[in-house]
Amino acid sequence: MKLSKISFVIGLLLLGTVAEAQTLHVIMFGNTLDEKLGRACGVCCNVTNNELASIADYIGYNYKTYPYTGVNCSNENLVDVLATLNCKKDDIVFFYYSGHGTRAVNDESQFPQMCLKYTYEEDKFFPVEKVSRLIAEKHPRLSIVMTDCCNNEVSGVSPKPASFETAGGNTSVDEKMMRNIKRLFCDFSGSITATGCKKGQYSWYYTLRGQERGYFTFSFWDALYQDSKQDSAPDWQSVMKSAYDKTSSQRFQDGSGKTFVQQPYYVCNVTNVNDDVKQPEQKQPETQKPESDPHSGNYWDSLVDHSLSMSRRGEIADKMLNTLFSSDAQVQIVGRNMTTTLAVEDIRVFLNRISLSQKIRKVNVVSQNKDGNGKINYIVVHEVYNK
Amino acid sequence: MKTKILLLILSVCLSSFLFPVLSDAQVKLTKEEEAELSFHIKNKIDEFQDYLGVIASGKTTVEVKDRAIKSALEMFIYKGEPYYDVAGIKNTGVKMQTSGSNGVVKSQLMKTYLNRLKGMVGGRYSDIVIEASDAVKVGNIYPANDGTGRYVSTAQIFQHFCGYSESGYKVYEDYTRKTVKIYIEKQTMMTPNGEIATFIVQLGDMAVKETWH
Repeated sequence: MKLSKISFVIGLLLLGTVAEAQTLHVIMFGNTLDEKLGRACGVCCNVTNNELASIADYIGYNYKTYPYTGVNCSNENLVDVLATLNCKKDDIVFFYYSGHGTRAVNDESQFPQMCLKYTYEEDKFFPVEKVSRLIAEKHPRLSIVMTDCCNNEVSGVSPKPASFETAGGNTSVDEKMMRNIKRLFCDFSGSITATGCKKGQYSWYYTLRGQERGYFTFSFWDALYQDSKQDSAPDWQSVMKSAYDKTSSQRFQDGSGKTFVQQPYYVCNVTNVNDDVKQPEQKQPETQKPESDPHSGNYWDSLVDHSLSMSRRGEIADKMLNTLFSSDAQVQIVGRNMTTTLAVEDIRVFLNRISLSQKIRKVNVVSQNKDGNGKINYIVVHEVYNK
Repeated sequence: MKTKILLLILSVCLSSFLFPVLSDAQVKLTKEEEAELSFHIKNKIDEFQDYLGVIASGKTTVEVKDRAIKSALEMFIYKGEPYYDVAGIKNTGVKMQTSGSNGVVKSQLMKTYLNRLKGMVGGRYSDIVIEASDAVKVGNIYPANDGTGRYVSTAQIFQHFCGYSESGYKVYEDYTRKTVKIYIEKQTMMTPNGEIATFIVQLGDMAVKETWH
């Protein structure tokens, strides 16, 4: 009896915490100006941003990004963002870096140093392990530090992979996938630090049929989605193992025909919060998605808010058209790999279609260009569908 | 000699002009491209079926129905308007076939069909529900070889139509299997982010294959 009362109180406490709007913080550094890797780094950053924006929607978290690409991919900005990061205790922090990496001969860490700036200055390199430590000091519930970079010096080689599974279509999710993704991001606490390869190895970026990819980044997202499609509940160990297997099963060749393997290195130090605290008998309520407010400028969420009438969503589409876009704006719809173009539509056609859709649950904005009047004249988006 | 050189230049110019069109029309799609296109076609058809539900429903406003008609027509070649085909023959626009309770199959312009569907509620029925089956089957995608460089395919869809009286009774019901002609065009275009290549998928005539009452 006493135990059930304690469980009830713990349950109420948990409920209170769940009801509060938690945040998924995404700190992203991409060496997009690098002559060799820049384009692929840009694609990998877009892919990761797109996946995480969708995940924030599935798990009912606010989504906050701290993007540092191009000239902003610098040591100074990294130090600054980690110092000013403000986390609540149930928040999740996802750090991602795509670019060159290296290590010192006498480095004790298994993880590399990120080169960050495209004009390489050795003293500005930043160790991955230090990022994990600094984020841990902010006490988020879960932190994931993921870097797709070499763990050794590399020059003068171009990757030639055997094959790779693509994800060129829209994202399509069902209840089971969302439940499993929610389990991964909401039921675990601790930290995961992962990098594209073991020390002494290279992380491979390559172009396949004109599409840029980073092998580890793509393998990680494939692994996460494939594991979340399974009937059994996934955990981070199995996701990271799948990402490891996918990456290390491939062989890469440089221009001279020399073969390389890439084996990701990761430390997964997470526990299932439900294993520590027994949940009360009552079913845990669904996390409340932050209510969309068309007046707050959160137009995209309102446009796909199926609780609003189609008339209302049509009005929001008109308002977006008049306030945000130039009349001749074009929309490029890209697949999950961020490089396959699925369609290009006029803004009127696009907004009208989204406002009437019963299956689109989210529109992720990948990039946008504005005209001299500050209106968007070109926008790249990814659509997430309910299955 | 001059004439020969001119003819040679002309033939080289012509062949370089024609070659991309001819070769483009004959390029077979990769398996990966076919899989992505099939997925895209299914999404497109699902979207069209959803529009039919919105246009027919007694619960949506006229304004929303009009928006849905506009969006639905955007999915068809020439947006359902008249056009000249590759042989130069005028086509009055994309057609939709329907079958009535007497089993007679009628063909009408898509534009006309959608507007009639919009007006059906309030007449014989007080509400209409059109449900689509998930089992959209997309056939092989192959080059049209008609000089346009486009690809064609046919998809098969199933529709369930229910008409309700004012008192809520189901007064009409049918199941129809239809085919939809699909047109796919590979296009490259310049964007602020550089040149991109994409497949434009458009729907064509829809024909009744079977109806069950």
